[in-house]
This record gives sequence, C-alpha cells and structure tokens, in this order.
Amino acid sequence: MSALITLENVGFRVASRSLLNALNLSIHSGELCMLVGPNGAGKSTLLGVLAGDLAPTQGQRLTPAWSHTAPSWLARHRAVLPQQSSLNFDFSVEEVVALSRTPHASGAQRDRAIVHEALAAMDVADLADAAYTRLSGGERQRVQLARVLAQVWEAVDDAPRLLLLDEPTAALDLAHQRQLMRVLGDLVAAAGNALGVVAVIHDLNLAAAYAQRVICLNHGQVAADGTPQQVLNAALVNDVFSCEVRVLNHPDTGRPVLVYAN
Amino acid sequence: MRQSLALIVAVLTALAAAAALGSLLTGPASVSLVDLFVRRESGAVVDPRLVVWELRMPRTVLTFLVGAVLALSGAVMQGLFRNPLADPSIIGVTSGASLGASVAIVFGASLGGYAQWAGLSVVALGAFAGGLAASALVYALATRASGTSVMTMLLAGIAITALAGAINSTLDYFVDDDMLRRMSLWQMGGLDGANWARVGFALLILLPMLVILPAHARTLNAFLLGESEARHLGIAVDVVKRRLVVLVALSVAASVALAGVIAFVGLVVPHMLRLWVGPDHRRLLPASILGGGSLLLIADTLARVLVSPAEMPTGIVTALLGAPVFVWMLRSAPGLPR
Repeated sequence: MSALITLENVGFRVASRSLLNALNLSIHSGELCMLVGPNGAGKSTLLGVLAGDLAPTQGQRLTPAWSHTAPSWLARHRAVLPQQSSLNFDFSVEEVVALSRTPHASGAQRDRAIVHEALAAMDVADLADAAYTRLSGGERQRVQLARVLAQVWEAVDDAPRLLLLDEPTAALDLAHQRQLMRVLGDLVAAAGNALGVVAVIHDLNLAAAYAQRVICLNHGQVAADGTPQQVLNAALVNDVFSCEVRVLNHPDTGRPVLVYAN
Repeated sequence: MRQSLALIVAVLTALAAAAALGSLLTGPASVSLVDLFVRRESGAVVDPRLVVWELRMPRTVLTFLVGAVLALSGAVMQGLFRNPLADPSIIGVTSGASLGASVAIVFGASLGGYAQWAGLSVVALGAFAGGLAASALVYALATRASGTSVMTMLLAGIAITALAGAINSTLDYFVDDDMLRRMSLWQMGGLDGANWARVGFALLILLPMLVILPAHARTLNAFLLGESEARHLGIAVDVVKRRLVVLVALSVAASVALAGVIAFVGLVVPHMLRLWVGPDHRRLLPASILGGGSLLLIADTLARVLVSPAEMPTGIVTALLGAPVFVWMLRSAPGLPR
C-alpha cells in the first residue's frame, strides 16, 4: 500500500466556523476505507478536500502518487460521487454512464464495453435505455454509481486511481447496499494496489462488515482510525454518536456487529 | 435507441433546403426555378434573376444564418445553465442590443447621420456594441474570486434586461414620432435590410460560431450533470463558462445587429428538437443549427406572404408562431423536464 493522498495538519474554515481541524491522515491505494461520523462531523468537507474541490485553509494536501495536475489527467484517475445529483435532462441511463468516459481516449468500443460492465455491476443493465429522469431515487443512485465506477474502471497508466463516494448507500435497498460493497471490494482487490476507495457511510454495520479501514470523524477531527475491530467499539459509539450499543462478534467473519443496548 | 446523427442531419437538411427554396421563390415578383439559373426573355419589368440574386438570395442566406445562430446559442445557454427554459437573451445581450440600437437611432443622426460602414448602419453597430456591453456587465456582476455563478448570472441578466428596458422606454417617451417608429420596428426584428454586405458581416462572425460552438458538445453534456461533476470529469469549468458566454454574446449581438430582435427561436427550437433527438449536444447542436435556420426561413417567408405586397416584421411572426407552440409543448410534451 502506498499513500495516494496525505493531509498534513489540514484545517478548513468557512467564515468563523471551523469544519476541519488539524487533520493528519493518509489515504492509501489498495484500501477500502469508510468514513463515519455524526451529522456535521465534516465527512463531506473531508471528501471535498480529498477530491481537491476544497483548498485547505490551513496545512497542506499532498498527492505523492500523482505527478500531473491537468484536470483531464486527474479525471482519468479520480472519480467523485456527490451526495446529490441535479441532472434533470432526459438522458438515457446508458448515456449518463457513458459521460464518465469523457476524459478518456480509450476508443468508442472499449468505452461501450466498460459502460456495460459498470451497468451490470450496479444491476441497472436492464434500464440502459430508460430515461434517467423517470427512475426512482435508488435507481438514480445506482446509475450515478455506475457512472463513477466506469470513470476509474481500469488503469490507464502506472498511477493509482481513487474513488470518492459521498453516502453511496443512502438510497439503496438492502440487497443493493450489499452488492455495492462487494463490487467495491472486488474492484480494489482486482486492481492489486492500484485503486483506493473512500466512502462516507452512515450504517456502522455496513462499515464493520466490509471496510478494511474505518475513519471516525467528530467535530472536524479524527476520533478514531483503524480496522473495524479497533474503531467500532461500544465506548467510541457511545462517545461520538451518543448512542448506547453493544458489540457482538459475527459468528462467521469475526467482524463486529453493533446492536442497540436496549 | 436514439436516432443516428446522420438521419437527423439528413432530415433537417432536407427541411432547410425546402425552406430556402420556398424563400427564394416567394415574393411579389413571380420567379420560377428555371429563373435561378437561366436568363429568359420575359415581359417582366424586373429581371427575375436580378430579383433572386440581388434581393432574395442575400436575404435567404442571412435569414438562415441568423436563425441557425440564435437556435444554436439557445441550445448552448440551456446546457450551460442546465435549464431548458434558458434563452440567449438570458445574459442581457438582447436587451442591451435593443438599447444600443435605440441610442444610435436617437443620437446617431448628429454623429455622421445614418452612415453605412461595411454595409452596417450606425444603428446596427450600436446594437452590436450595446449587446456586448450588457453581457460583459452581467458576466462581471456574476463573477467573484471563487468563480462565476450561473445562478447569479441569471439574476444579473434579469436585472440588466429590466434596466436596459427602462432606459429604452425613457428614450421612447422623449423622442419624436419618426424615431419612435424606427425604434419599435427595430425591436420587432426584420430581415428586409438584407444585402450582400450584411451577408459578408454575417459570414465573418456567425459562420465561425457554427463550427466553434458545436465543438463544445461533450463539455456541455458533462455540464448537464452539474458543475462539480463536470469538473470531476476533467473540464476546466470556469474557463469553458467564460468562453461560451463570450461566444454567445458575440453571436447574439451580431444577429440582433443584422436582423433586430427575433423572439423565441433561441428558446423554442432547441426545446422542440430535444424532444426528438434527446439532450446529447453532439446531436442537439447540429440539429439546432439546421432547425433554427429552417424555422426562421419559414417565418420570414410567411412574413412576406401574409400581408403581400407589404411585409410584416419577422420577429412578430416568430413570436406568433413560437409562443403557441411553446405553450402546447408545456402542456402536452411527455419528455419535458418539469
């Protein structure tokens, strides 16, 4: 694993409000990392800083693995799923996903193949010709996910790729949440250390079951950072989320499972 | 599946060719297809070939170019603003050009009369300058250190349009009847002033736009996802935004200078075509060029036929045709984003 992005003493302030405070952390390729924390903890802001959308007002963001800064080069190595989508034009599902190939020069045939693989991965292949604006919220979410997946689907050179997802499971049903987690895990594994994923997740059990690393934010600072076993303990959840839980062990995987204490 | 670009272009080119032929052959003097190319001994007072080549041909070419550029500009603005109800006038260019024309009509007489310059009157030049100045002001108002907000641009456009309209009305109030008539005719839009010199100006400014603007089709597609999404797809959002606003301002200011205010073409044509070809700008922009040119040719032909041997301002015809069609679309079109 190598560092994709390193934040050194990063702070981010808007007006007089401090959203991120003295963050020191590295995001690695080859890692499925989940970002958890209560509302307003700074998760989306951190994702924005990682994406390069927000310039830190303090400290610095380093990208040791990326030597280029051209927007189109970055777009071939980094995809971002925003929390909300504002698309209200009648693109077909396939056309929306095909937009992901805008920065690439891989040829129409290869692009079409990747788009179809991404559609299948998100279980929206049968909606390929449907109008995006007429889909349900969860279906739209899966189409947008297929779009960002297709953007970093395969390596274009030696530089590692990064996928940043803001609440990717928010509108998904149980089966599709699980499918997404498996697809992300498979992509990271298949890329062999050339792809990093950071996803903001609210469901702690989803993070516990699938993450390799969990970063818990609170008040713009890192409250805990490590494996699910290290981070997701009763004391931390009680402390950060003000929610009393008990932590069990999954009988098959040994990963933590959180249940309400009463 | 969507229609292929080849089919769309073929159908619309046929429409444009038919509209152009109709425009060439329609008018008070009767002209037949043969007259276009063969000199005939006829009893007519006016040589039909002269009518076609010196009067109708420049008008047909100019009408097509103006209609094409207005529809194309509308499609680009709708993409840039991610709003199917955007219109080229949204950046203040149309009202600015109207005001520029009015100012030139009122004060131009004392500044070298209504002299011609490269086929353009002082009034036309005033319109061109006014359109550019108003859109520059709108763009400046919407630009901060952090970038240009299309939402602020939209609001600034409304404000500048209202201000230009108010100044225009003030001028209306104080000028004499002759000037008032000229000013209001200008705002109705018409292509009766067409000549080869104006066609030359149109070819110089409008023709390059028909190539440069469609080259941004993929960029505009990405814009429809949202500005940050477009940025994540590798597009230098602020650079593109500034470039497109400048190009559209030039296009629309030039078209108002050449033909006055032509309403509704920029709004309705891309809108109607989107229902047929979908939102992909790689199909929509070429379709808008051909569709906009065709529509304005048809409207201009009607303007000459309806009250023949006199003619109506073309801008009135486009509004009379465009507004009902637009209302019909709002009520019934199934694929329209609401």
